[in-house]
Amino acid sequence: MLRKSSWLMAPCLAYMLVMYVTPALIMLYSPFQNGVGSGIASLGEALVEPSYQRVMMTTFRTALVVTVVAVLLGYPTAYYLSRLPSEKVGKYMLLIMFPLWTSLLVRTYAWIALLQDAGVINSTLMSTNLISNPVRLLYNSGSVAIGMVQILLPYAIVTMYSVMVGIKPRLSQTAQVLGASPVRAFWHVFFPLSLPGLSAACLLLFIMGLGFFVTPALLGGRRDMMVGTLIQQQVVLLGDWNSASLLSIMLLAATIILLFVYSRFARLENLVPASS
Amino acid sequence: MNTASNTPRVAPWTAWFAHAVIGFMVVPTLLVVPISFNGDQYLRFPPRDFSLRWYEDFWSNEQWLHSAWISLVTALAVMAIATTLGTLAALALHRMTGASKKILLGLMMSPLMVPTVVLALALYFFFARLQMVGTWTAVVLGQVILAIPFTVLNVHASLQGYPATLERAASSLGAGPATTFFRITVPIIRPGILSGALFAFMVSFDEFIIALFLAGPGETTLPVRMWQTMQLYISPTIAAVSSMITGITIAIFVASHALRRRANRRRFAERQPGTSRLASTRGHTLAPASGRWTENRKLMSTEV
Repeated sequence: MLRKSSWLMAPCLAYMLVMYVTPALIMLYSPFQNGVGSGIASLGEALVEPSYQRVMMTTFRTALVVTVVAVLLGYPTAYYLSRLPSEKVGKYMLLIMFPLWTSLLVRTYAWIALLQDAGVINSTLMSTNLISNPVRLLYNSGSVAIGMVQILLPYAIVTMYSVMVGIKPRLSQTAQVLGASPVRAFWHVFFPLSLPGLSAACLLLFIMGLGFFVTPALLGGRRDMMVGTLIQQQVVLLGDWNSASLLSIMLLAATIILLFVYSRFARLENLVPASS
Repeated sequence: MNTASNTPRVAPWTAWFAHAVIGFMVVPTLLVVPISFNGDQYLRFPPRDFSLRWYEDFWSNEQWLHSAWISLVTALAVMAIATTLGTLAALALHRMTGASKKILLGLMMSPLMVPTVVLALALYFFFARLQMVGTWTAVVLGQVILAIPFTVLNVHASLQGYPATLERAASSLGAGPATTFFRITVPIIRPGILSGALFAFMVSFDEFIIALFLAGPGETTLPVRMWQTMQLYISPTIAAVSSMITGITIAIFVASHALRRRANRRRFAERQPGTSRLASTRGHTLAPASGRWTENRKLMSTEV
């Protein structure tokens, strides 16, 4: 039975090799098809190209900002949930999962409807005469960050929650019985134990933040372009396959390096809390 | 905060903070619903007058209806292919050990961590060589890659604790491989197959980037049509479409939750001594409680 069943893997493996590995290799190879030397040269040029550098800087900065904000918002939330009795957590978790189930474009559209000049926030403020002219809330780095944080929060909360829920409440109580103040008990007992979840959430969010496409494209202005949008523009609008694949290689390299770091101190399977 | 005395007390501000954060995650999306019933050309809130004109606009527009149809057909095709491939792969993975299992599982899961733009670009290059960019087939074949991790994971999770001795028992009693598979294995992993299929459907129905790169003008899926409309102007029709999609999503969400609750309850009931006959014929007791947070698997959809 044991030997006989491995052929069941064949269809899926064949599919992945043809439809996934081969396309990836074609893309990785395409800058090098005129010789390895010229490929490396063009990759080097792309790395120092000012317009690419600017987009790359925006990408990294945005990913960093949204990671920090989402973790700062997510940590107390996950802490609160992890201290709730387990029968109460269920309905909160449903609410946290709800954004993940709703369409990405629907959520982005909702932000546009809220933030645009004639949108919910501006029209409400104007009808109450708090402001006379609409405030420009959309198409800047702030609106991109708001949209991205909202999308990333569920990942942050669940990643940290899964670690925090394993920290026994008794530990903090013991510290307090022994004379520590609640604040001291938190920082000296709970916080160090929650660090694996915190660092895993940071890396996961940063990796995901680098690859964002829809949110910056729809909520951001021209100056907030991230590398995902640039790749799409190079291919679809300009037909410049070479630049698109060079940018993809850079994005992919950053992702792989970070994933490697992640796998050093957290198992990749932990990215999927359900499998535990 | 006055819960049972054995639960630790948290500072009240933490509770307020957590509720505010969860509100931030949920409320903005739901505001689309009142906006969609707005009679005005502009997105006023609260809406001045109630109207269904944006819903009429959707249901009377050939292009929107065609896109909805394409999305549905695409999602069904992706679901069928990904569920078949993923279920077979999970069955094989379950019996593997060591490095080969690790590598194969890593390969199956990796589409979740690769930025979808990069994957879409690679598929674009690939299908361009085959002269298939702009075809419906290319969109389906591409989206299957994103759906496979979910089907593999769900079936794999439902196989945890599945005793191989059952199959040996069945075959020693004269059952052929096909009978064993359909009478023993399938009933045990059915919850995993079903939730995997549901996720595959949702992944494809939501999928945007691969469809944007690969779909031709005749195969515009709903998300791509929304994107194209949003680039031109913020039509309230999108609010109506969004409300309907969100409504359907909530319905599926609630239904799958209820189904899983029922499955868990039944499983629990079967553990009671009096009902062992049922348990032995259906084999449900052997399936693990497939985790409370099956929803979490949606977490891994990294298309953003």
